[in-house]
Amino acid sequence: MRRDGRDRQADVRRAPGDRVTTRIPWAAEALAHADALYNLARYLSTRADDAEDLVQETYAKALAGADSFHGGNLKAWLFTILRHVFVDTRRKGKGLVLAHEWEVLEGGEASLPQVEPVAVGRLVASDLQAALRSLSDDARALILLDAEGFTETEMASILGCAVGTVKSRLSRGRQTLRQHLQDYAQ
Amino acid sequence: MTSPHEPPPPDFGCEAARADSRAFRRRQLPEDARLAVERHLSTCPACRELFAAEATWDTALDEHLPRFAAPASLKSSLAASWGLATEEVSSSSCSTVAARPRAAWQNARAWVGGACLGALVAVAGLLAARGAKPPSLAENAVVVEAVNDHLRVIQSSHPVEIESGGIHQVKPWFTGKLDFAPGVAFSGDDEFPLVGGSVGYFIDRKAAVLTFKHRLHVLTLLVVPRQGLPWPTDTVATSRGFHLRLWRRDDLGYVLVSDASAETVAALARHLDGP
Repeated sequence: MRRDGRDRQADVRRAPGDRVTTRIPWAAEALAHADALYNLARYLSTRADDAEDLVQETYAKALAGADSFHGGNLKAWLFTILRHVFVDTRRKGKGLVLAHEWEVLEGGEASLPQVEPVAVGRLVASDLQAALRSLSDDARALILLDAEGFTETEMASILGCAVGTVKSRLSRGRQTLRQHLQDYAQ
Repeated sequence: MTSPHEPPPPDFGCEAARADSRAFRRRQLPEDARLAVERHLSTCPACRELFAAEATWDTALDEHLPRFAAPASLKSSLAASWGLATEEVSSSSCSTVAARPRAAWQNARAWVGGACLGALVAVAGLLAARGAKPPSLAENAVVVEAVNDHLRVIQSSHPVEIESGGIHQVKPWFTGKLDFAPGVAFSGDDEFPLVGGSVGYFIDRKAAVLTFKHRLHVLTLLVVPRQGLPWPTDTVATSRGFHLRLWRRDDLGYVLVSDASAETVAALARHLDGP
């Protein structure tokens, strides 16, 4: 998604009541990712209102920093902001109820038991959800970013780590998830 | 943003192929790297099996993991702060949900193919009661969740929390347990006796669960506030051998699901004022 300089400039339009508002030309495209951002936020926090706060803050920062977006992958940019907001919120102790620390660690492949693939037919959504929530934040985030269709390079950019770390942590996260779901495979 | 893949070496082996497994399944590899993986898979049964297993898990996550949609109030608030009309946001959001990279994966899965993928848990199809329509991923999520809820009912040792003495006993029982009134007028008959009711969860919200029987079959009716959910309108669906009817009434979504025949499910749906 490449934009020229003219596209990136915010246009100004007159809103009802003669109030002048500045409109970002890619506003609709940015807000189209609200569901995807909320989905990740909902899995990172344990409460729905915390997830809403994360998404609100993400968009507030995106709006404030709109001039710093010079084209590229808007969705990945928004997810990167969400990740920063999440980490900042946790560090500042704003009372966000979190399940785990978000920390991307270097690590090799875990030698965890494999679950027979045919058994996934018995998976129940709520149990899969619970198993995912039992993972560390970074593993959970990686699995969700993977499901969003980001490339490994994009995921590395969002998480601020190396592509190799994404590969190994995603693989390990999926294996851990399978281990937690092993009951359904037997 | 593209992946910084180097051209594959001539001795491309298992380790290299497996390192690219995820990008291969997502169809995110450059052409030369993709061909190298395909060549390796064509000669390596172990990697082929591993790739198929991973593709199966992709599907499981894609189809079973609930997706949370941003509340309408949040979207409205965001739209206002970004100077957009709410409609501009909601319409864009719908396309976002539908735009998940599923179709691309399916091509990769097809190549990995074979018997392993035959076990995939796929929604068999959604056919509109009045003319066929293609299943959207969002609608599939509703169907998959409904079947899962039905399975929870029939696998539970206590499938109902209130035994039925008729609908006028079951409906008041929901008062105070739900923040909505499930509009159900049919109180059961000899063909479809009402077994009872319970409160369940549908994705992220409470649902009224009413259980009917037909001979040895259990039929589960779920009534759910549908705000924020892509609830299909007057739709017939089949998933994993279960037959479903889905419809809307005012702000509520209804789904009837059972392993009984499609005709039986349709007959009860008509009693329930469904499609």
